[in-house]
Amino acid sequence: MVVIDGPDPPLLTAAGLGKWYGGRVGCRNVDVVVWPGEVVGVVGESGSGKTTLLRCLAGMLAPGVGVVHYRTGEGTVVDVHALPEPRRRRLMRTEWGVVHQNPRDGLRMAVSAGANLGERLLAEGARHYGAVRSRALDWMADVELDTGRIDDRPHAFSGGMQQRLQIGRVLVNRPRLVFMDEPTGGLDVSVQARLLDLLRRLVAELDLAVVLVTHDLGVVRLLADRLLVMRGGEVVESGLTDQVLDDPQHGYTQMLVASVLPV
Amino acid sequence: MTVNLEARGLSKSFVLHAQGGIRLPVLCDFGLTVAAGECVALRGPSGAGKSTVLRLLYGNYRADSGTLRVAHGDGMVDLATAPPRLILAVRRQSIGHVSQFLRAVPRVPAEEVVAEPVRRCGVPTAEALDRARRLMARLNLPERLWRLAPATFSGGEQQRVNLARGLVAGHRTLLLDEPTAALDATNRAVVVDLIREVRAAGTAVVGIFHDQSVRHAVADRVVALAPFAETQGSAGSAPALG
Repeated sequence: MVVIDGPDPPLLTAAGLGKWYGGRVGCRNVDVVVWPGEVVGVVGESGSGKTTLLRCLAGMLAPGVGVVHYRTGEGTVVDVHALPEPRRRRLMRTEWGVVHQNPRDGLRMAVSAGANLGERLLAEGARHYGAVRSRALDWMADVELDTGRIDDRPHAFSGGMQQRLQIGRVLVNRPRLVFMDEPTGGLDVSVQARLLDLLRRLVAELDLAVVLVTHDLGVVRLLADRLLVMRGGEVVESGLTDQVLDDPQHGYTQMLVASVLPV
Repeated sequence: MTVNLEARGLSKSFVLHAQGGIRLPVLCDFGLTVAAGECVALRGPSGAGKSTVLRLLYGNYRADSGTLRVAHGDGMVDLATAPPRLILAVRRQSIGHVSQFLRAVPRVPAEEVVAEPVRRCGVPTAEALDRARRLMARLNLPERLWRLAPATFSGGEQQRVNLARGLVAGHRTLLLDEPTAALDATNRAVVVDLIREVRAAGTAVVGIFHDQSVRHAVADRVVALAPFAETQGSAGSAPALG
């Protein structure tokens, strides 16, 4: 296990993670290390355990075995699943963020775009309405939304706009670690391309660490520094993204790479 | 003599699991030492493994055995055994690879594609863009193209964007895969000048140059590669002609 210590310590480590649904394997024997500022992609087909792993890492799902450690902004190392519920919730609202595939799972659909963007700031203790609104406006522009629509509810936005709003809502208070589950899934390709460009820019500008789950190898090629390839709940191959995609060693990875349709 | 790149005993084979685990050996016991300011050309027929060697030297393909030491910071890093994060740092700061084809994020303007490697080294955006634009101007890329995404560019234009992106960060070691293949005579001459300039500044270059005149103009040495079956992978070294 990697110890979270030394001059260049990782942000998150998971060791021996396993999760079973009854007799069925969600994921097992998974070790993950995430360093500050790096994007770790998790790929594999449907049912390979990607989302189960993400939910275990993000503290949303208790693993059957294994442990997840996180180094907080104050430098203390916490066992994510041993934290009292309020501490874990606070972590999720402040230092972490989750971007869901379906923006409706991450947004409050009944309140305005501005209120969505301001929520994490208010949770952190911001109380000055004008300041919160002005940061919400900045973020509307940052995620390439029309600032004139800050008072509209997300219902009135297209799918691509909702996804950009969700990303703005998560990044508004500069989290250190963001979990993304198929952030470009369900969007048409032109909207996907724009979102990918936006994510790349924000990840670099904010020096974000990201765990990115996707089945789309094109997305990880452009966004991820490192890859984990999952099959049947286990990591079958891992390494630098371009090494894994250009020189896949495992039979399953070779099959995945060979299955991408050329345009 | 400062050595910027030193490969020893590199071997590589591909195992194709979908085809009954067939093993394709492509390189055996390959060695190469390149000093600062030196340019080595890889030569050989199609399929001899020239691009494979460049990809191995960049850490893009994983060597089965051997060492691959690259000058980085105050020392040398063995890319064959370095952890992924260290390989990324070496690529950011010390070694560049210009592939045959440009691979860019859709819809990102050419000048940002070119400036990105500089920005990733921590240079402010304005300065990075300035360096990118100067290099694009040098490579005769018309200014009206700079703000456009390269996906719609011609082959030669894309290749120059790719070259500019590869050269802009001023890496100490450069790997060039057919950098002039899609270029006309004028732009070939520009690329030859650029390669000579980076060499004069101390960059070590390993390249594949199909154009004989380009090869003679930039390289001091030629390393000949033959298809694996003919030679069992031995690579000879000969002085460049002319």
